[in-house]
Amino acid sequence: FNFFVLMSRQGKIRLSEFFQSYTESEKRRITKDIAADILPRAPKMCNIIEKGPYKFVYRRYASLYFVVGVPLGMNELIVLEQIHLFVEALDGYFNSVCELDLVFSLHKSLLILFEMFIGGMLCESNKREVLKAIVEAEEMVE
Amino acid sequence: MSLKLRDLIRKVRACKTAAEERAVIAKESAMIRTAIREEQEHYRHRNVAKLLFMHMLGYPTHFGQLECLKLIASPHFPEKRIGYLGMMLLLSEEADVLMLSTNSLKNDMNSKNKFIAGLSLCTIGNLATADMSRDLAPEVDKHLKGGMPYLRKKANLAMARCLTKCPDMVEDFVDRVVTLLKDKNHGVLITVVQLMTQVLLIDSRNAEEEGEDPFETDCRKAFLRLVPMLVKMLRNLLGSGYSPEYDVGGISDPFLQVQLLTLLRLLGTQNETASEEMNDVLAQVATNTESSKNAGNAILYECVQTIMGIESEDGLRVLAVNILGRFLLNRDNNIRYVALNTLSRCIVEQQYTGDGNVPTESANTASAALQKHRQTVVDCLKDPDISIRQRALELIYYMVNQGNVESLAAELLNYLVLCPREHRRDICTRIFRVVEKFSPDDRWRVDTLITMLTIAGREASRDVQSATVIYISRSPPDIHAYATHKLVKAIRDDDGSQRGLLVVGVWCIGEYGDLLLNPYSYTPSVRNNDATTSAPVSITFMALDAVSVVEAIKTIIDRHSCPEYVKERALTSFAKLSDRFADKGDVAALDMLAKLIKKHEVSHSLELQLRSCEYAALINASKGIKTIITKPAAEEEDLFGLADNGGDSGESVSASVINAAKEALSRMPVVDLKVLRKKQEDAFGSGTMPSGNYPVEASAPASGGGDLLDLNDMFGGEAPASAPAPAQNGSSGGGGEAPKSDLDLLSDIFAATPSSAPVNAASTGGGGGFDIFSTPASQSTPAPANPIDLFGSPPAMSMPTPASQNSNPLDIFGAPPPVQSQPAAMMATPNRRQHHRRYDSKDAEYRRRSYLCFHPDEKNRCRRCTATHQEISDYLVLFLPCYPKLMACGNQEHWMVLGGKRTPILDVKLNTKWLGYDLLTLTL
Repeated sequence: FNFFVLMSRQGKIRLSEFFQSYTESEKRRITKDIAADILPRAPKMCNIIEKGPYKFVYRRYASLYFVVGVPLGMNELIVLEQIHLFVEALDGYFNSVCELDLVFSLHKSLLILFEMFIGGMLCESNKREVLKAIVEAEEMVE
Repeated sequence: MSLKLRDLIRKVRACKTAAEERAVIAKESAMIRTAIREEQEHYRHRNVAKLLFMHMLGYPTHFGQLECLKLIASPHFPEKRIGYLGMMLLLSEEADVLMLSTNSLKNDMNSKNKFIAGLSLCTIGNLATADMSRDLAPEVDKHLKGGMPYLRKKANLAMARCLTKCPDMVEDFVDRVVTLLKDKNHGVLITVVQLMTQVLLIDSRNAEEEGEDPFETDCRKAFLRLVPMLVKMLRNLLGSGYSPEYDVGGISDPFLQVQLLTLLRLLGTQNETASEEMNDVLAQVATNTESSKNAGNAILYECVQTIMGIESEDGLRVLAVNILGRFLLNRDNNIRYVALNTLSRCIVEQQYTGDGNVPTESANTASAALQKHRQTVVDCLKDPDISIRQRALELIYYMVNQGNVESLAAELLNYLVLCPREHRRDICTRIFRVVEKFSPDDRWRVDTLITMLTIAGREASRDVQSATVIYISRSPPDIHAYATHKLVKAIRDDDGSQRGLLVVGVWCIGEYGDLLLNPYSYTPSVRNNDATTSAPVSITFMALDAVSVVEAIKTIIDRHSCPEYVKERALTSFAKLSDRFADKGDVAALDMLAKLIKKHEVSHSLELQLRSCEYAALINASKGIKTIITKPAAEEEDLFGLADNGGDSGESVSASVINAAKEALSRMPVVDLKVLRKKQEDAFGSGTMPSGNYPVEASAPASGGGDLLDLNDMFGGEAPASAPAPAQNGSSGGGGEAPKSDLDLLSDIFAATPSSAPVNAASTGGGGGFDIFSTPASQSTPAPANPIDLFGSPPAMSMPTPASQNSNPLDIFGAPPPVQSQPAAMMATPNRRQHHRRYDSKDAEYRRRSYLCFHPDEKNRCRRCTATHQEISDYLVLFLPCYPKLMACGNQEHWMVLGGKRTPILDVKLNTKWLGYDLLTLTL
């Protein structure tokens, strides 16, 4: 992955992480591109858009778009699957996740993200493992 | 005190406008800054959490970077955790403070708490810079060797990052990988496979940089030994029963499978043995994977890519192509996209590798399968989804061959109509390439290109337009007529917006206008293969008469939206038409053409004006009439006695001149396409080329007249040396004073004693005279203040004092006295912008002339011109209103300043008259 952005239907960013170093203006351009290219797409269209040196692969869950930027040669289908894995993990943690959960528990969702992806690469493909680690860490905090 | 995180979020969400939100954030930022300054440790982690939120909203948070580092150093886990999160989000790799965290990261990595160590590794994986990588790699390595799987998998990815940043460390870690592969934990396996992939990529990049063979490195060799192990792992995954832990839609760990396949692809590329080892398992994956779910398709897709990437068996390739064929028919758009994408990649690779060699069996299968699905691909062009359309377009482009070019080109043209405007240019170029490569015959090619321009003439690139012209001109005469008829029709139907079409059309009409006067009909021969269709429809164009041909072009250039370059071409076209129609006896058309050509003699645009005048001269020359400048003030005596000198021998132009002029107007030579392309030249060079030649040729007829010119002529005639400047000025006061001033001019030339009258006269005259390049508004343009500066000295020279300027307003080359700076003979044009454009022209001839047109006003002098004076060495053409004076000053030595050097003028020759100005050739 190059970056990971969660965007609401209204174009508000709910979570974003750039695994490679981009300048602020590049980041802004990327989010702008996402808002312009992905949000207006019809549900039946394919979930891949080419944009310059990378592709946006996205998946929509209710009013939230999970957008991943990947280099051109990457297997798009497995990326879709990875997005789904992340969503399932969120779902497992928040117990049927909704947009508000993400807004109010930003750091929790970030922790899940970092537990699953490091440097843009998948780290753990078992969501149970992920959740176990998160929950254990939570217990330590309390 | 600042808000709680939750309250801040609530407050921001309650904001109704963006301004309100900004206010809330600004206030909170200020609070946080204060807290940071006052070192309120207690609130530190809450503040960083708030900064995370603000960062997400897109507000600046750089001031919190150091706070993150402080939190990391804290001994408490919750604070550390927020600190690391903050670090990963708020800091970028470039942040200077990142270095400060190295020590904390090192300590935390060795922490007993696996979560702390995990966070540290994760941060390294996301952020490490090259320096940090070097420092921390040994610590990361410790985790690779042993410890918990939880940390091992993170260490793998952290190491992948370190190696990416410091490629030279790669070799040290190759051995470590081998042991890791034996791990049981899926997380560790998937990360180590990714690590290996990274290592391979880095390694081959290293090898390339050092000029070694990337397929022969030690690292690759070590990994190749592992292939059987990887294959076994993949087979185990396939064979293993249901394992709920890693199951996705009935497929066990698709992520690991995909990663393994990717790694195998890298290892199998250009390696027979490794490919051999993989064949079986790949076949197994390809056949056994269920394709009803996305996860299964992802694996299949990766498998196909691997099969195509390695040296696989032909049977396997057929299998892969069949899978892609199935994908193509899939309802899911993603899968179709992937299929289109992979197919075009396959074909490109085949074309690449199959170049020169006999295409292998498998190569045929891939493209054969593709041809089988042609209709499906073509249908994809009509998909509402731009991604799919783009891919399909790409694929079709590769699919075209001799057999299907006609139907596919038709599809492409259809798509051209539908596609968004910004893609048209690219598609035009592609259609053009396809047509160029595969077209069955000239007629079809010309036909397709014209249709394309009709659809997208606006967007088609210049190259495409030019090449179209070339193709038309290279085809047999029958096609000329056909194309020209077709273009006339297309142009008439067009609303003037398809500029490319206009350009091509105007050129063809000019070149082959005479062919339009005959009717044209063509019956397409029935092809063997579609003999079943009904009787062929013959195409017939009616004959046009000359006037309507001219009208067709006239309509184009009469439109306000008509761009200048079309007008320029139209002028050339008119010139050619007047040659083509010359023997048709259609006086009305010829008159019309003559008028149209002359219309631009006073145009604002230099180029138009130039063409207009030169073509008029050329046409006159070809008729045997000597160039005569018709001036508004016709009663002015012809300065050089060119017109009314009554039966002078110079009156008629020599036969060779006529021939030369006719030659210029005759059929364009067909330009060799290869040469043209090689030069990457705008092929319309072929269209405008003659105009580059015209000045030379046009000067030929007039030089005969120039010879006539001598001092006798000038002083012998009645009121002889009337300065053309007032004549040009034509109207108003200047004209009235002219005779007097002329006398003064002459007297001045000889006496070098100025009087006040000539100053006035000359300046009014100058005002008009300098204005040749502008139209009636000329009077309002700032006339040069000091006429003496007409021959203004370049800045490098010492200036004449104002006094001397006043006293010798007309002392051009004349009296020696104050002449430190008897300057270059130059002509002025007030319109510097146009001049610049002209100056930038690629045409050297053009530049030469432009050189002479700078502004006499010292302050406004064109810097660019002075900068490149050196370019002119031996040849100059001047437009001088005061040529007579130059001639008149006898045998005194003249010189001008070129490139800061004083250059004597050895000889002056009148070349031709142009717009009341004399074109001189100076020999330096």
